[in-house]
Amino acid sequence: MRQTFLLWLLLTFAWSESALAQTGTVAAEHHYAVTLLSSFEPIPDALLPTDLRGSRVYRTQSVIFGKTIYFIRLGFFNTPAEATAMRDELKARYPGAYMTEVTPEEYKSAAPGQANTLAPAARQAPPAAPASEVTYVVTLATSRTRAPTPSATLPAELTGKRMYLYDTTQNGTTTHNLQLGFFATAAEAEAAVRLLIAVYPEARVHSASGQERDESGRTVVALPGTSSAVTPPPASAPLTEKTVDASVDSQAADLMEKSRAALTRGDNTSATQFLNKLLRLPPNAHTQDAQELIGLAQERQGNKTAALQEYKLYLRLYPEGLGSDRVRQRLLALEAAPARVPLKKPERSEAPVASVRGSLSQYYYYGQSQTNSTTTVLGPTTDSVSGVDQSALYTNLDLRGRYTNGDWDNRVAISDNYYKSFQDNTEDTNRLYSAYYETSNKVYEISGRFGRQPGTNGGVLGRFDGVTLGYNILPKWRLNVMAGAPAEFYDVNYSKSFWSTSLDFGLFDNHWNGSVYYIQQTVDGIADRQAIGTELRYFDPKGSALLYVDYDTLFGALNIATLQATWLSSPGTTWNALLDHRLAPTLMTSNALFSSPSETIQSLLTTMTEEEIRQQAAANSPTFDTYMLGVSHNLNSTWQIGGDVKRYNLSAAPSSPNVTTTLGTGATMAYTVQTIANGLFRQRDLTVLSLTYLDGVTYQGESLSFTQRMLFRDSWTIDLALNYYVQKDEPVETIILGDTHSILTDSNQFIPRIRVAYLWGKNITLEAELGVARSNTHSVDNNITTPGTPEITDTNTSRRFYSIGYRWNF
Amino acid sequence: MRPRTALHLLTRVANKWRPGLALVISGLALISTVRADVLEDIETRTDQGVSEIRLVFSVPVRYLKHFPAESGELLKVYLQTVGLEMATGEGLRGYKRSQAMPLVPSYSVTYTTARNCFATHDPLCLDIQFSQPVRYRVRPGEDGRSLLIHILPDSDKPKAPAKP
Repeated sequence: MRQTFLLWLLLTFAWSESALAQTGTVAAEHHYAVTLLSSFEPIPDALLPTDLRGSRVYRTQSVIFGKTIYFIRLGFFNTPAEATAMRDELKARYPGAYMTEVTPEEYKSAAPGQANTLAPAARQAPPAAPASEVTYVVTLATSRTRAPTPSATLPAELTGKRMYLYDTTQNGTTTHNLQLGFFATAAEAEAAVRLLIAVYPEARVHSASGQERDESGRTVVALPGTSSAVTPPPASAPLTEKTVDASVDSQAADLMEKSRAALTRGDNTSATQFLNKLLRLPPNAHTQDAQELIGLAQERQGNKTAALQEYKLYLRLYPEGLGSDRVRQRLLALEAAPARVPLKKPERSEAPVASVRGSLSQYYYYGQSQTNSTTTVLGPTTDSVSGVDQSALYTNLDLRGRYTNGDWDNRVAISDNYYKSFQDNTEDTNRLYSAYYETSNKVYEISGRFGRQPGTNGGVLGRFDGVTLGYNILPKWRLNVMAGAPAEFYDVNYSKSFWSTSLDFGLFDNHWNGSVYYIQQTVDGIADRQAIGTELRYFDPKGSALLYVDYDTLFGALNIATLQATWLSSPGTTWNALLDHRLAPTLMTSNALFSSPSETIQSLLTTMTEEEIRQQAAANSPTFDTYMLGVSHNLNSTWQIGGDVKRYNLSAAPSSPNVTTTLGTGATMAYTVQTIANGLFRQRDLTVLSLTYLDGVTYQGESLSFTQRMLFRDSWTIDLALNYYVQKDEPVETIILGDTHSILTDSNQFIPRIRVAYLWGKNITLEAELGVARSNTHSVDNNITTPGTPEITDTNTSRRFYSIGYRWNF
Repeated sequence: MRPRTALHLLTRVANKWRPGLALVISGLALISTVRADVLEDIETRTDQGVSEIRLVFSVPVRYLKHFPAESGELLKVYLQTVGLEMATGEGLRGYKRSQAMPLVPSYSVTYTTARNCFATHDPLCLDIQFSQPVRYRVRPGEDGRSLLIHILPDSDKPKAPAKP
């Protein structure tokens, strides 16, 4: 009777699929729902509506952009219009509600009555987690290297419990747990432990989080069976539980993620490519799912024969379990269907799509300053200077074009800034920041960028004119080659060119990635820079870390070594640390020009050897060391408080053939506290207040910075800023005309500013800024050699500035 | 003649008798200048009502902190530029605005590299303004040169049902 019923259901399902195919349309495949709630966290049962009769309210969750998102949906509707009408009806109650097209899989699992039509799966589906908030689970076995496998069938008393895998991470170490749940009380769970302890000696009781309960359904382990007593392990464990190399598993996870993403966006061709790569790996935790999905991908492309082969292969490899029932249904449906059109029509990602966006802005800047200086020796002497120090129009164009066609993604970027000065002594300048064409193919995993572009890796310094090529030589290993000439925004009389290669790797173990590189750069025909370097990055939900090293093999010197880390120690508390050692500027032979009257390397070579030029370049590249430790803590949703301590030191530069010794700053300490408030003065504002105390070898300084952004109505934004700085210098002794003088200086600066922006329509922003900068310096000069009346100098500078302009976004 | 920006600034900072003031002034004097060479691009994509904003920088960056923590209309993010090129001390300011997309609130990103935006080495401070309140999660991009913000509508709790 049961088999007859199942057969009827499967035939019904097959007929319905066949009927769909015969219509030659995919319209009937589409189902719509209203997403009532969405959340980054599991949604509590208390928020589920109980009064929406006549419709299906259900939970679902998806991994979107790598994050698990939880939904409450109301379904189902046959057309977007029906769903939208319902959304509009519920909008007052659920302001964030929106219409959603649901996948066939979601529809099948959640539609009313589908529990019956999918009876085989439903009967074998693991029991659902209880709805109560506090539940308990038994951890049967744990492993840090692989997912534990069931050691035995379960006693009959535990029939109906869910066995699943659950990963936990502590101190950066991931532990794979084999769990059995769920139990309403700890006592009930303890009783289960007593039944299991003979086979699972490490069994222990834990409380289960809501997240664990929600996610447990996705990692269910097929139960070996039930019996009245604990029995020996089954002869063969599920294939997915076999031991696999961690790196293989990591590669497989990456490919699985890509293939799922491709399937989601309807890119079945790419999905097939990724799945084929995955299936060529040694058996791993994703092999079984990949075998099922490749059949689905083939089916969606209309490749019936290939899909049948993949499904049949799946059933030979995995004859038992939930997946096999699902695949068997699909196989029957596919076999019953005639040659058919693809179940899913080509999605928008497979159709050519072109877009252009960008902005054009123009701002006029004006600044006028006045300086009054009063020097008092026997009597006061006053000098006054004033004038316009800025009058210029900045025009900025930012343009981005994109054309996607199948697997190809093509982009064009142009970013240009033109500075038009209205002052006689200032030249107009144009800076072309970007002008490049980029193309990439997601299946072949190749990319190329041509033109003026940012040098973001490979040890390339800044923007350059040239080419960047990239190719995934292996999963998670990408080789890049760059070549070109550094973009110079100033007039120079030398010529530079470089080539560089880098190898990007990762993500490994879901935490690690990085890059190693080699770069060689020449200036006027001689070596300018030859360096090797690495970037090593670690990511974790709790924090991140970065190690960055660049070593110049030409100079035999370390250019940069920096270690940075950010760590979320508890909810709302973030620590960050920095250890940074670098040469500033980066070592290059051309640094020798900084301290030379010559403007070209070639002219330097007429008087110096290459070795001497590099000595001078090294002398012009002092070291800059910074150490910092900071913390911030969210007191509540309104306030964040933080602070940091920093120590920095710029070294002295040694003398060289043309340069005398340059003094360093000595060690300077900076102590900062900062508060950020949200909705402090009005509901829509953000306020930042910072206080910093500087303690240097030659001075002590204090600064206060206050900024606030306020929103008014839908169109107005006001930014207020206030900066105040006061500094007291240590006495400086200097020799003037043979006499030793001691000079003591105090100074301060005060800068209030206001900026107003108005969004005119949807695309045009009008903006104006007004500010004043006032600074005062009080200096006392005592002649120590010939004591007398000190010379007192007071300098007051006032600068008024404003800007006004517009930005058009398109 | 090539301007000797980095060395010039450092030497000035090192040798002038007002190094601290020079540091602050350098951050303020040029802040009005609008340039667009740090934030290279902004990309937005959406799937099932969830939006992902990717801010792509032309220099390596590291995430320091953000506030408010999980939701709001205004979001402040503090980053630090990392890399070989020493900051010149110029206070750069830039702006980008998103394209209008269905179900995705429009947003604008204003950034500044002025030293007074955050008392750290090579700061990069972002002000992100959404057209409506949203819930978000902020995390650094895995390439070390981007920032990811995932967006949901700001309504995780229903209002009371309307009385008949």
